[in-house]
Amino acid sequence: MQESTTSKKRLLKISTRFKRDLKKSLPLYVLLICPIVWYVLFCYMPMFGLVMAFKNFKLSQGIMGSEWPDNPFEHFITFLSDKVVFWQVFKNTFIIGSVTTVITFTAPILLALFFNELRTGKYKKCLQTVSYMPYFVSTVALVNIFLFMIGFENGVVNNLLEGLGKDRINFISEPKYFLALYIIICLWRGLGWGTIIYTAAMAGIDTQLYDAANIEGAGRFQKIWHITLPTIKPTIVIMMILALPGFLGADFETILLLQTDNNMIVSDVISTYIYRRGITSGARQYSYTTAIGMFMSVINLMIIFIANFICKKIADIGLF
Amino acid sequence: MKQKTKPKLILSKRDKIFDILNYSILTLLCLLMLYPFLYMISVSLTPADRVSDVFLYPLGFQLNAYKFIFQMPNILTGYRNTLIYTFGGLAVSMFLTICLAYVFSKKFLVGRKFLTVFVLITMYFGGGLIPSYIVNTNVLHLIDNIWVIIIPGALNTYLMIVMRTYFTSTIPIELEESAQIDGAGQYKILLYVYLPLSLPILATISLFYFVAMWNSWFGAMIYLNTESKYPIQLILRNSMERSLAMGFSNAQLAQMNEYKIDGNSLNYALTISVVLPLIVMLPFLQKFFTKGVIVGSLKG
Repeated sequence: MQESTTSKKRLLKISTRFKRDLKKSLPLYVLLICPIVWYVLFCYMPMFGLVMAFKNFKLSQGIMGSEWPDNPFEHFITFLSDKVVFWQVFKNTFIIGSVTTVITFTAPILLALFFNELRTGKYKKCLQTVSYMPYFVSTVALVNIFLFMIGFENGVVNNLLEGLGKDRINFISEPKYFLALYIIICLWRGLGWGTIIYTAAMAGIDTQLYDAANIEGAGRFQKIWHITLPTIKPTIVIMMILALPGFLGADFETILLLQTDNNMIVSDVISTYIYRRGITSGARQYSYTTAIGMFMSVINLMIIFIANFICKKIADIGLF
Repeated sequence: MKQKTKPKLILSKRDKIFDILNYSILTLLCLLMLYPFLYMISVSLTPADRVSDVFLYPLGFQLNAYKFIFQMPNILTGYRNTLIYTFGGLAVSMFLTICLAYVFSKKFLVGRKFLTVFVLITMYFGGGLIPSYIVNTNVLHLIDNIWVIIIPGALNTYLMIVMRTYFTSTIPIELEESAQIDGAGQYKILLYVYLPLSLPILATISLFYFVAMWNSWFGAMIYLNTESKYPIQLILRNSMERSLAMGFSNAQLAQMNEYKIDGNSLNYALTISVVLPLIVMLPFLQKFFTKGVIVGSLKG
């Protein structure tokens, strides 16, 4: 008897709290209208549009009206069995993505460690500001700057080569220079900016630890290895999980701007392939390119989940 | 006593070598990072006949390249368009972000779990390029409409979460409660308690939106057909393709000859005028940008 009244009371309490919360929430729902409409239109509608991958989409018939082919996985089978084009593009993506990710992931950590060894002051701040600058240069301008620097006739790099008695090189047309060029551009843009997050994590280190290490007679590298690195380890792990999908991706805008007919053999990656076949070419293959895009998104999602799972198991750090 | 000081002396000598190396390598690295800017400025100021000899500093000094580009009508309209898109976009972005971040920061909200899932899914999975293109063109009919530059990219979920984290971690709950006791509703609390107390994060987030919008060109390239609607970045991209292919018109070539401007100088002058506004403001606003990255890295 008593139990039931207390549980009734509790239920009543919960329901009155729910009512109170709901009443308080009502004006907030009004604020939600615009953002929710935005998410539905620009995130969920494209997500729904993925059904195109299983249909034969025609512009005149719309997403709903287009017909289903006999085999809804037709487009997936088409590109997965296309050894000549698709797998070549996939290979390019993986090569560019993996090399770039490894370099652009480790370099900022190293730079942050060495920045951290500078004495705090104006000079350090000045160097850091200079290193952040390229991050604000738009991709168009960035590629523009480099293309003219390596220009065949007037570019400074080729002038230097000639000055050293070597032949001029047409960097942008030769496939073997493409990867290096792309990595240099990525590094110039992201190296300094990438240090911010680690610098912030290092700011939290207790200076007493360094004092103690000094008394023990530890050298600079020992201090970096035993004090600084362990403190930023959680940040490194999180950044690593976020960087991993980069193995199968490349910066679309940069690659697109760097592409020429001559370097296409190595520079054509999945995102630019989708763009070319889906948006620019004469016979736009909407369903086919949507299928490729969906395939890559699913792989990316899997990479994040697996990486997150492993990191949680090993280091107890994860995104979610 | 002697034994204790001895290793310290050796250590400080080792430290000195480390410091000298560290300072010189980092200085060199930063000079290397500055070099493309320096080269670009030097080329843009050098007369045509000496452009190919430029290495560090300008050989001669002329502002003709800048005069030339600011005479071109499409560049002035490009600037105007970029300003419209950037500030219009900023207003829309901030409105959406503030509304959503504020609602998100309320723990009592009924349906908060659903909202979280609804929003976070979009951070990890999306339709991709082609379905978005089809939705914008075939369903919403936004082709060649300037709103297609502003609206589809208006909300950045990551920045919204940064703002929410700031709201929940720095605004004292007591302040909100006392405002409630004084009879303030949710909207008044947002306007008179939250916003005035969050000026630093509002500045940070606006700057990120500002930079993203200022630098964007791809959307304009695929959705806009009319040249008078192009933002400056797209004009820069088109001029880059043109001058790489040496595709200047005869009238332009004659004028460039008269002014002694090299194609490279012209292109770099345009690049500088596109890049400079952001680079110049960086030293003054750097703390806001770094704050954004740091708040974003907090989990919450």
